[in-house]
Amino acid sequence: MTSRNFVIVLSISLLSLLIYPLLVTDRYILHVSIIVMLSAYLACSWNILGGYVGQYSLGHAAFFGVGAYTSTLLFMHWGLSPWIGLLTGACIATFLGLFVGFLCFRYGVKGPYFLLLSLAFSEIFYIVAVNVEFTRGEIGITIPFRGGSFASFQYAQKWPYFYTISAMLVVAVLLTFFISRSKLGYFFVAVRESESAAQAMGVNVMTYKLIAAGVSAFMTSIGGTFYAQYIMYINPSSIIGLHVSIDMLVYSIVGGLGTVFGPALGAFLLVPIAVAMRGWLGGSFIGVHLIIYGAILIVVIIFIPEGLMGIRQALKLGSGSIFRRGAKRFGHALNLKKKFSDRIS
Amino acid sequence: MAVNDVSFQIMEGEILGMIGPNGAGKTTVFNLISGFLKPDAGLVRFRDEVITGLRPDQISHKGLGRTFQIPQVFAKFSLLQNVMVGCFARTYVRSLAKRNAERILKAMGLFNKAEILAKKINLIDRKRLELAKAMSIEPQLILMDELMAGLTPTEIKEALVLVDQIRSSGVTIILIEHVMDVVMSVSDRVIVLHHGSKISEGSPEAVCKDKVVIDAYLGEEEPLCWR
Repeated sequence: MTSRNFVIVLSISLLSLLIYPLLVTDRYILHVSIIVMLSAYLACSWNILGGYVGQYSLGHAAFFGVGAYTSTLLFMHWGLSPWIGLLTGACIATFLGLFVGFLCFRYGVKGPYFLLLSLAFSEIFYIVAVNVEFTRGEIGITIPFRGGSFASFQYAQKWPYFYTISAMLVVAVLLTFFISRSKLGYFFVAVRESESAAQAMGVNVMTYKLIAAGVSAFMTSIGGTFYAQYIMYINPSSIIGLHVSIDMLVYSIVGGLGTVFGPALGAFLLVPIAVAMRGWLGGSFIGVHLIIYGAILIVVIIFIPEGLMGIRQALKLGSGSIFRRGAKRFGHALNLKKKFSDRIS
Repeated sequence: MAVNDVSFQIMEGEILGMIGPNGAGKTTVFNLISGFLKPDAGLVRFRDEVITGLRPDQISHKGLGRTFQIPQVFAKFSLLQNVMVGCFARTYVRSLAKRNAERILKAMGLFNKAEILAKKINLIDRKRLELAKAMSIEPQLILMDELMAGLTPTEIKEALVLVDQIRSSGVTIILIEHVMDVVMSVSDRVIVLHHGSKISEGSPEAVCKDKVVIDAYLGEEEPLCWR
């Protein structure tokens, strides 16, 4: 994306975000909008490590949880402003991201093995959060409302939360844009595309993987603090459950891995679907939105693997070509060619 | 043992050819020099500095570049962006990296394809891109691993022009090749590996007539130089 196009898209988005709460006064719609924006922000955070460097993680729920629990516990027990808790949580999450990253990358863990190790890391946090007294286990922690103010990161109305999460999302998108155009971004993509070639061109692969892990953990943790301060209730299932990590991954893939706007687009598409399903079906068929997520994911991976950001490029090739290429990918996945050859021989 | 007691040196500005039957250990030698493999014994010295045990990126910063037998392009990057990765190793400034990358692409005859994605180019252009990427780190020495493999005779002639250009710019070259015409025409000296050991070293003409080398190639595709 050129700088000019980015500025145009960002300007239109900023204007829309500024006037949105003035036009939308329904509390429920505003609530859904906040959740959509938070999901978009988390997907952007995940995208730094998963999309740009190609290290798919299922452990980001741990960073989300660290952010939420750190700011909450510091607020509840020591009366510290959640803004201080936000920074503290982000630093702790960054350290954990670097620690796990170092253990994995130092010993060449990547691909599906990194996915599994990151999942294990997140599960360890989940188990600790469930079983340790000071997190109150699955009962969770309700954050008391101590008057709406910026200092306490608590507001009586929804629109300040909307503007806060919008600002976070804009910062995340801006950061991604500047990274993508810088030496850091070029090295991230080089590591993803070919570690050997990257090394031969002077890229310290481990250093750049760790930088991505640290930045991604830092950003994700901030999202956790926001969630805690907005919902005002946290428990392990809601913030360190596997679904938290999976959602970030799915939004990024559907929207476009390693792109500036892709992860946000993915969240803008999928989150309202989940909300609509829950509203339409009510208490019955809980989780049906996950079936729809799965179906969309399969369609995207087969027919437009570049995600929503790649639709324009895919359409240029023509719908016939999209289906032909998709069928080829599907055939490869099922190894149909080999099966047919075996039958013929 | 993939490589056993192989010792050689190369002079600045030279082109050293490395030949040998398949499985002789040629690419292994390149991997040992460029840091992708660590030797169990022995030293690699580059410009009076021991570089054994350094990481490939550290060796690259010292001025040693390489190409890969199967071109390792960054598929989702354009050709310009591919080369900019190496240019960024020397500068943080994007505009400077871009300018340097454009200059290198022009030299490699790829400037008109700068914005094309690397996954969409043909084999000869991939080979050119490999060279461009190796040149982007401003090397003093380049290891070229079977640059001519898979190319037509016309494409080989084009690639030889590039090799000559690179040599004229002052870069020392070690090249692994199976195409004997190439080795004979460009190399100042040739070393021959067989079963991980060095069996001959000398001028291309002398090596071609060496009985040990001829015996080693029996059963393999007969090199052109003694047809």
